[in-house]
Amino acid sequence: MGAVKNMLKGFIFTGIYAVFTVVIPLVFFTLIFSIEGLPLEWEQQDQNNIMFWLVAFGLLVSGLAFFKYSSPKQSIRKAVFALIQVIVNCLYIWSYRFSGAAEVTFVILDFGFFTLDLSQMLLIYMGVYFLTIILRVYDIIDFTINREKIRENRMK
Amino acid sequence: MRPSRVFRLLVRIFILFLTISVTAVSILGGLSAVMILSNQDNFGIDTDNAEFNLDINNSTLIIENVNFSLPFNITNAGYFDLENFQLNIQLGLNYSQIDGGGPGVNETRIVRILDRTQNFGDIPKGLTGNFTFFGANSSFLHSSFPDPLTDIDWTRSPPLEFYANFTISLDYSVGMHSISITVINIKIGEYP
Repeated sequence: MGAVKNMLKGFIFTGIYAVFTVVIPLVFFTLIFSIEGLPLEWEQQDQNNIMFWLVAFGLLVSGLAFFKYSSPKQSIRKAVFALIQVIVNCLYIWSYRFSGAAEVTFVILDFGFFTLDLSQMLLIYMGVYFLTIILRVYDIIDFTINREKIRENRMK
Repeated sequence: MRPSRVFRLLVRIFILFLTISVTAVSILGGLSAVMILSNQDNFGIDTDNAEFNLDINNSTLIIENVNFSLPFNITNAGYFDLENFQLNIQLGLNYSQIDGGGPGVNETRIVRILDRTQNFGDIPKGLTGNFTFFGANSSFLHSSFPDPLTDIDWTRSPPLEFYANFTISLDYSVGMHSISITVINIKIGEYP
């Protein structure tokens, strides 16, 4: 019964992650690109790049969410998948930077242009993720050292 | 609960607090940027009071001195201080080139005679910063100036026209948002 429950939990979290990392960004950028007359400087190739990297890393994050959340509580497997997921999450955030989505330029005809650069904000978020990576490594060590104790508690 | 889990919980709370703070600053910064940029009165480039002094020796037609000043102001209507506020001005000189090849070969040229960035520091929230951009004689690209005797067609009216590109750049919300606004091809004067 526990295994089924874990599998269900894995599927639910995969869905949640897919909505937040793939569906919402995809809908957001599709809407922005489809607005007629919006003076964005992104070209077709930039749009394709942004979409591709967001979907690619978003799917990876969502897939890893399944393995993380379907693993037993306080297991080494869960800790390892959680660590991989955080690292891929960092890449996902970084994909906004290297795909060009973090730098938005609006061209205003007969006036000039306006640029908003959010790269620094992404770097700060990656700093927070780095702290999470430390926490995940701590989890792996903790779950390995206290393996027997965790198993005993699980059996109870 | 094991002591190691209690420690982990405390670190998690700290990370959560950090994430919420960063997100709050990002959202407030975005709102501030909208508040500042949506009101044109927050940016005042006073082109009417811009001064462009070009001293040309009447006998030798050699440029002896050139300088440029532009007063402007910016109001920080947002929630955070504006940081690293910079203004870059590129000045272009438009003239008709004498090619000496007979009628019809003259062509209009634009050469960049000034490309200068001045840093005005920070503007605290709620305050208006009044500044004057100044381009001294030494800042001008003298090697780019056309030769008044052999290059400029003085029969054109006006013989010289000056155009400018302005780029305002600044950091906001503790450096998380970098904004730049570029205004291109503004005519700022002519000579004589």
